[in-house]
Amino acid sequence: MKSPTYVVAKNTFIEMIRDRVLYFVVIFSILFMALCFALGQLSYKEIFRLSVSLGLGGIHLCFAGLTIFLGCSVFFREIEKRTIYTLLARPITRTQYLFGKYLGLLAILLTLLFGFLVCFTGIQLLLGLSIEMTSYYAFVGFFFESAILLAVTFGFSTFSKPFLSISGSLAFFLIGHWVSNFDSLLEANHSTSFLIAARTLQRVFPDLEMLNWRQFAIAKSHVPLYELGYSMGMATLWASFFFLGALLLFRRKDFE
Amino acid sequence: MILKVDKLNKSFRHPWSLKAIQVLFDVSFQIEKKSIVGFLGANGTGKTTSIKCLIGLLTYQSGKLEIFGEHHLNKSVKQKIGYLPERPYFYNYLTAEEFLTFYGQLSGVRGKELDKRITHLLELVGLKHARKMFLNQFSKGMLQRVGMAQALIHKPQLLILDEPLSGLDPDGRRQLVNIIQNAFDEEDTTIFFSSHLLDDIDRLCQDLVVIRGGRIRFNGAKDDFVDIGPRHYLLRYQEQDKVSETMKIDSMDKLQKTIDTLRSQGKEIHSVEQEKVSLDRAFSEFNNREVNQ
Repeated sequence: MKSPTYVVAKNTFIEMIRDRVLYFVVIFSILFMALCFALGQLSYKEIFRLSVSLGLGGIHLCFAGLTIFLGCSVFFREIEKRTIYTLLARPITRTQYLFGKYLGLLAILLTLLFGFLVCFTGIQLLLGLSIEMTSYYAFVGFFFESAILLAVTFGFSTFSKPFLSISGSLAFFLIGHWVSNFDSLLEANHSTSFLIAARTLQRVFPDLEMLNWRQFAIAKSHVPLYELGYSMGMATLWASFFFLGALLLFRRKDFE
Repeated sequence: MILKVDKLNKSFRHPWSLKAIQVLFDVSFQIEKKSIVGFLGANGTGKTTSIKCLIGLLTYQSGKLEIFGEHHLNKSVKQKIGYLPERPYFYNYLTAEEFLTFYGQLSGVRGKELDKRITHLLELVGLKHARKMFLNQFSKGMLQRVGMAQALIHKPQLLILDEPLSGLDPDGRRQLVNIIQNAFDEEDTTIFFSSHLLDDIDRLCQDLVVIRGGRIRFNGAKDDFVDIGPRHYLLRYQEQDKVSETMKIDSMDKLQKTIDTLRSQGKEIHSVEQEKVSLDRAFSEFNNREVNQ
């Protein structure tokens, strides 16, 4: 017998991959990425550095946006359209259901990321830029970051409407990328309240910059193995932590 | 006994004041095996809430819910129940076949057995032609029928339907009533369904559970419910060479006396029948009595 988690994950993947809305978002993302590359071409000397940096930056933003969009809309739609009612009436636990949804969406994101990777390589070839393997570390970082972000959107979606879920997830994404810069801000600002707030945020939020390997792509250097392992391990722990939080909320949720 | 609800209490929290608002009060009822039971009540009386508690979509404050003698949320119980919610929506981008495969697999049906079951059910619900059609191309009636098929995909022993007939046109309602009747006759399924459409309940059900204001007011045979309250007797008699006449008498005592009187006058008694009341009228009288009490 197929595991209910696998069945839900497969169904989520099929349902999403056929959704036209997803394609509009993907096309928009690819155009945005191409625009970022085009901007890089304006540079006089550092064409490679600027194109790759802006291109990867574009992919990063689009991919994070896609993750938030998918995480918030899919889960909300399932509750709003009450498809979840008939599912939870089946011999499936809420844990299996939520994990299945999570895996299904991760599979979608992985597919999309592969698509971005192909586009990224294609655009580089078109522009006559050299293809560096070191550029692809960034994609690994994007994927692990999206695993954390997806778990966070699940947590928000269990109790709030999409607008609030999207806003909350976006705030999480921004703070996650800023927490590593708080130390330099603290040097300039000696306010006690700012110090407390900054230190609290640093402890509560994962440092998403640890998964940002764009600078290695620009420098054409490999990410040290220990950094790769540590960041991926931490990302897995953070994703598990937020997923468990979402699960705790979801298990107590009343479908009124 | 296939389903037993004992003293179920449910309250919701007000979103702002967080004050508890109780909606179910000691709800208790039971359903016997191999029966079609109607769950009757006006809108907002607690039918859907009770069903959601049974299915596990809502938590409850107190009570004991058993299906097949086990806790209602046990995996072994869920394998034996089918459920169709009110106004169901399903995954737009799945075909009818994929949709039923998905639900079948979730319930542990697989391989050729699942294929055969899908073919049989699509025939039963009249959607054989729509096997490869995406659900976003389905009309409301078709969605309701494919929803019935998903509820029956694993040959459930108990089928719980929440307002399955609401929002359908007369033709759609007739089709769905036939499907429910077929499921009962052919699949040996016990059916528990909520509705406020009394004609359909009258046509399908042998037993009733009546809820009002979050409290169960009746649980028993439909005939017993219809017989509650004073019922008239219709007495038909004939005088020699004249056309027969019918008299309406409101009590057994009066009936006996009238028969004696008529006989003593040489009139012939043709028949005595207890007045038949429709479920619609019985329910309306029941509600009036409840309001007056």
